[in-house]
Amino acid sequence: MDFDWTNLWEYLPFLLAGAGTTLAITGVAAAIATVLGLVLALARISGRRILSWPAYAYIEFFRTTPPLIQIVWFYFVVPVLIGYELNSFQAASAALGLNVAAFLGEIFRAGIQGVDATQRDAAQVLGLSRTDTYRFVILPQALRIVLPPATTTIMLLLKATALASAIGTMELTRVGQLISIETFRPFEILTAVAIIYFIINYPIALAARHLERRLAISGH
Amino acid sequence: MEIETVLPDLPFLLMGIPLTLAITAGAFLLGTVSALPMAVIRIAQVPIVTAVVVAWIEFFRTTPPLIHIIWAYYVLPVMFGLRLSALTVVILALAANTSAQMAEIFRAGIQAVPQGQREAGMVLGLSAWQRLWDIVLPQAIRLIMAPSANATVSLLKDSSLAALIAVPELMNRGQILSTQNFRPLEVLTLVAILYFVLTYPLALLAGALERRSRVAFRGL
Amino acid sequence: MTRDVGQQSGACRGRLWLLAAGAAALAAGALAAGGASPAAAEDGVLEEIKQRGTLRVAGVVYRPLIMRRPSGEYYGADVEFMGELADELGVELEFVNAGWDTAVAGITTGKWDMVPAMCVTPKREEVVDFSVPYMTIGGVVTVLSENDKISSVEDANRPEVLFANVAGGWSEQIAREAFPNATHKEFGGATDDQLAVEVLSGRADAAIFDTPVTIALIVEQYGDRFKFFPSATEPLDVLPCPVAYAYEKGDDAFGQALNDFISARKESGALQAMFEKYMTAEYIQE
Repeated sequence: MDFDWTNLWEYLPFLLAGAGTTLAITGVAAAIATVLGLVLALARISGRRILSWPAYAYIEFFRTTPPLIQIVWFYFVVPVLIGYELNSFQAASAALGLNVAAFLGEIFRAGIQGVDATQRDAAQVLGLSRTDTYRFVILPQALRIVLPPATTTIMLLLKATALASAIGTMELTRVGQLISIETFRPFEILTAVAIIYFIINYPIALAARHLERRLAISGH
Repeated sequence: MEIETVLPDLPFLLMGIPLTLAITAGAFLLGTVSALPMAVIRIAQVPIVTAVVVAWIEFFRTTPPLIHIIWAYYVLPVMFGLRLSALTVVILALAANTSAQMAEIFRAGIQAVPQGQREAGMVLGLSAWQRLWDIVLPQAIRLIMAPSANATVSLLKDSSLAALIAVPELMNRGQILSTQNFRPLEVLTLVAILYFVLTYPLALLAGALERRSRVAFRGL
Repeated sequence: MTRDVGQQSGACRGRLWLLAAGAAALAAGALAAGGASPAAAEDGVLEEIKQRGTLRVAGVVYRPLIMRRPSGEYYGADVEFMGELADELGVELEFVNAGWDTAVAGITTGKWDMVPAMCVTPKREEVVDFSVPYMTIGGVVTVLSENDKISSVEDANRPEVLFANVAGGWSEQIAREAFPNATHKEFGGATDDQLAVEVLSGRADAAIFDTPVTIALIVEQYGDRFKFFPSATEPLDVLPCPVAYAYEKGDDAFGQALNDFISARKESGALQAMFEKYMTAEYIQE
C-alpha cells in the first residue's frame, strides 16, 4: 500500500477553489433560507389558515424529501417551469436555500413562541406597539433560543452542498472526485477533501457550542 | 411532464423501498448502540479515550455523509483489503455519521436531567452505574426521543446517497428507470413523493414527541 | 404558552387534508410543467442559439472526445470541434454540466442544444435525432485477467456475473441486450474510469467498454490487468455504436448544419487530424 502525497500539492489549488464554491453555495443558500425561514415562521404563527397551512405544507415537503432529489429537480424541472435557465451553482443554491428555509422556519417559530407570554403581556402593559414589541422584546429573546440550533443547521447546510456534485457543480466533492479519477489515488484525495470539510465546518460547530453555553437559559 | 406515463413502473420503484428501509434501520441501530457509550465516555471525561471519542464525533458531524460513503467505498478495500458490498459500506458509513449525531443527542439529554436527581441517587447510596441506568437515562429518554426521530428522518433521506454507489434502493431505481424511459422529470417527482410517504409519518411522530417532551419537563 | 392537548387531534385531521391538498398541488404543478415545457422547436434551435448568443452543449464525459479537468475546464477532440462550430455560428460556446443519465432529457427540456459523442441507438432515436456519425466503435466485455468466471462471451451471460454500467450509457444498453441473464448494477453519473475501477477492485466482474478507443486507453493505463471478449480489437455483434451529435427531434435545420459541419471536416481531413491528436487508433467512419 503506497501513498503518494506529492500529487496533493499539485491539486491543492483546485481543491481550495472547490472549497470556495462550497462556501459560496452555503452563503447564498443561508441568506435565502434565513429570509424565507422568517417569513415561514411568521406565517405559521399568524394564526390565519391561509398563511399557516401553505407554510406548513412547504415545510413538511422540504423536510421530508431528500435534498439530492430537490437539487436535481431544481436543475432540470424548475427552468422548465419558470422559463429561465439555471446553471448548476444557481440550482444548487436555490434548492438548498429553499430546503434549509423549511428547517429554519421551524427553528424560528420555536424561538418566537418560546419567548414567555408574560413578556408579551408586559410589553402590552407598557403600551408598546406590536412592531416595537417584536423588535425590542420578542426578537432579541427569540434570538437566544434560535442561535444554537440555527448554527447547527448551517453546519448541515454546508455538508449538504456536497450533493451539488450530482449536478456537476464544481464544489469540493466534485473536484475531489475528478481529481481522484484522474490520479487514481482516491485515498489521498478523498482524505484531503474530508479534512478540508472539517476545517471549514469545525469553526461553525465551535461557534454553535459556544453560543449554546453562553445563551443557555436556565430551566429550558 | 406527464406523470401518468411512469405510474405503470411504480412497482419497479417500490422494490427499492426494502433496501432503503434496511439501510436506514441498519445504520440507525448500529449508530445508536455505539452512541450511548460514546456519550457516557464524553461526559465522564476519561483521559485520552474522551479525546478520541470527541475527535470521532466532531469529525463525523462536520463532514458530509456523501464523502464518508465515497471514502469508505474506494479506500477500505485498498487500505484494509476489506472487500465489502456496497450495501455494507453504506450502512457502516451512515452508522458512523449517525453515531456522532446520536452521541450528541444523548449527551444533551443526559446533561439536561437536573443535577438534583443525581445527587438524590448519591444520597440513596446508588453506584454511578446504577444512577445512570436507573435514574438519569429513563428521564433522559424523554428528551432524546424527539431529536432521535428527527435523526431517523435525516437518515432515511441520506439513504438515497447509496444510489451513487449503485445500491438498488429507491433513488438508484429512479435513476435506472429514468434512463430507460427518458422521463427523468416524472420519475424524479414520483420518487420524491415516495420519500415523502416514507418520512412523513416519522416527521409527525417527531413532532408529537417534541410536544410531549415539552410538557414532561414543565414541572421541573 | 400552554397549548391545549385537545387542539392536537383537530389539527391532526386538518393536517391530513393538507397532505392531500399538497399532493394534489404537487401533481397539478407537475402537469402544469408539462404545458410549460418547450415543444419541438418550430423555427429550430439555430435561431434560438443565435439570439441567445451561446451554443449550449451537454458536458458529458467520454474520453478522449470530451474530458474534464479538475479545474472544470473541458478539453478533447469534440471540445475543439464544438469551439469551431460555435465560431461558425458566430456565438459563444458553453458546456452545461451533464451526465449520461440526463443527456437525452436535457435536449427535450431545452437545457442544452446538443449532446456530443453520443451513440446512436434505436431507443434513443425514438426521442432525439442524430447527425451523421463521425466515428464507429463497438462494445467489448472487459474482465480482470485473473477472473475465472468468464472465459468467453457466453460465460458472461449468467446470473453470477455482475456487470457495472453507467446508467443511461450506451454500454449499459449493450450489456443489458447482450447479457440479459447477468446481474447488472447501475451508477448514475459515472464515467468509464469509474467502471474500470469497479472491475479492477473486484466489485464487478465485467463492464462493457468500447473498442478501439477506450480499450486502447485502458490497455495503455492498466497494461494486461484486463482481458477482453471477444477480443481487444474485435467488438461484440450487438448494438455497434456510430458516434454522432444528438439534437432535438424534428429540428432539421440544425441537423443539416451539424451534418455539413461534420462532412466538411471529413473531406478536409480535419476529422482525422483531430483524432490523431487525441488518440492513436484508426476508427473513423468514412
